[in-house]
Amino acid sequence: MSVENAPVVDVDEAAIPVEKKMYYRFESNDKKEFRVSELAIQQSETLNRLVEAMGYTSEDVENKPAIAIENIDGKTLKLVFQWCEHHKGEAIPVDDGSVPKIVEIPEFDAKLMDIDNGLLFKLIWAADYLNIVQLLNVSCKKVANMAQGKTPAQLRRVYLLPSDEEDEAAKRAAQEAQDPRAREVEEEFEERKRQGGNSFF
Amino acid sequence: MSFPIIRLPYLVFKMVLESMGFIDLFILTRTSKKMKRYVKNYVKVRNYEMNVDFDTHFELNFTNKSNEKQVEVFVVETIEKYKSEDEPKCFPLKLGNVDGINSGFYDSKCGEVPILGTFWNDMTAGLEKFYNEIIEIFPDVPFKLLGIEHLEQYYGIIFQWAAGFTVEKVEMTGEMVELNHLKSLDASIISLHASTLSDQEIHDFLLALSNNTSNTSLKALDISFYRNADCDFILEELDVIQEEVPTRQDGSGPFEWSLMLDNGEFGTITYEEYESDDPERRCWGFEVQIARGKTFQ
Repeated sequence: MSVENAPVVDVDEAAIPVEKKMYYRFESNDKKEFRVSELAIQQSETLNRLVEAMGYTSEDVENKPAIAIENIDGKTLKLVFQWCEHHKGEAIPVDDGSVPKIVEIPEFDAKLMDIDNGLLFKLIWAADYLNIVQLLNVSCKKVANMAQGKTPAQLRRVYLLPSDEEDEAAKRAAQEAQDPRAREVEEEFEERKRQGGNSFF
Repeated sequence: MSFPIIRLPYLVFKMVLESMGFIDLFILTRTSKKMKRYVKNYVKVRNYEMNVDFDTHFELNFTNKSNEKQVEVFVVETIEKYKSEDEPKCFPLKLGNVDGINSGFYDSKCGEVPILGTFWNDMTAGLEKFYNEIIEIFPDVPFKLLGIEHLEQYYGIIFQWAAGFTVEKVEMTGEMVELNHLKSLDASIISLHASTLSDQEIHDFLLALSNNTSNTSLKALDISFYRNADCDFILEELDVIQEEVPTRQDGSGPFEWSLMLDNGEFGTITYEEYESDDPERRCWGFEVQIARGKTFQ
């Protein structure tokens, strides 16, 4: 199944056929609404518990407002639900305990995650928030794969990693921000040293 | 476009690190002290074992215990093997206090095994620095197999280095392996082929084994040589009883003895002719098996 044909119903997008079974309505923080099957929701531990706790009937789903997911935007949520619909009914994977982890990225997932890094960041964040184990596995693997064959200099650019010098500068700045007196004391100490004093006090 | 990995939530960042391979993690630790600290603290290797091989170069690999295809290789080579024309795969690497070491990513012949090579003027320094850095990052990986095939000129330092570790199995080939090398190994299984140890040295080794003054973890020893040995002399002073076992008519064995160690542990010694890989020379060998942790009632 292609990413484009995944049966997530995005009210704002072209209509995609919905199977006749229990589904739920969710709303993103930018007011995009989605209809997602009960089976797909089971991929998300967070949402699954939420809908279980709400105990909605089919009528409730239609009559009550959509369930708000306030910290995920529509573009991200669409990807999340496309993934959940594609993988609905699949068992939640059990980690075999290997570290480094052995994770294969299926073709569908690879295409779904063929997105810019900003959106990928949001997708990972959403997968973590909604506790979708396998989506988190594959998206983390996608990020990990960015390191393959990279030199230290390239890795700094790929992952926006500060150098030792930048870390030191940030640490100093943080200390000074926390204690504005620290710099004054340090300057006073340096001045006394220049003047030949042996003791600060 | 970059991906700000350290802005990820802690557990997700940890998952990303845990999803990276050994080589990528190792290179990541070269980017800053902070990243090195993160990798050391967050990535606890599980379900992998380490194998070290001294062949024409020094090679250290990490292999998944349940999937041998999951393997990554670190290599120390002489500078003469460095191919700078492989740019941009080649780059300078910092190891310990040494900076600018010629390094590069290489593909195995089958193309599936990632390899990180480093190239040194001084192989001994390379071995020491590279190994120490790798073990600092991945400290708790069980040491499964040590293979020593060539690099005879480095045997002194190799065995001195190997004496500091407990390893499950050591496989060696060559004429340069000495008695003190053999005695220095803390291994459960030792296999030495094409040995030039004399009957006296083999006798001394077995005697030390028998009175528990060396190789106290050894459970299995396999030693072969291109000559026929004097078993009566070799087994002298050992507490052995020859067993009645079916032997080949040409006198090539096998001959078997039960062995009692001074501490009450027991085992068997077998001597027989092996199939030789050299058509010009016949090959013979001893196999010693010791049941550790069990004493004869």
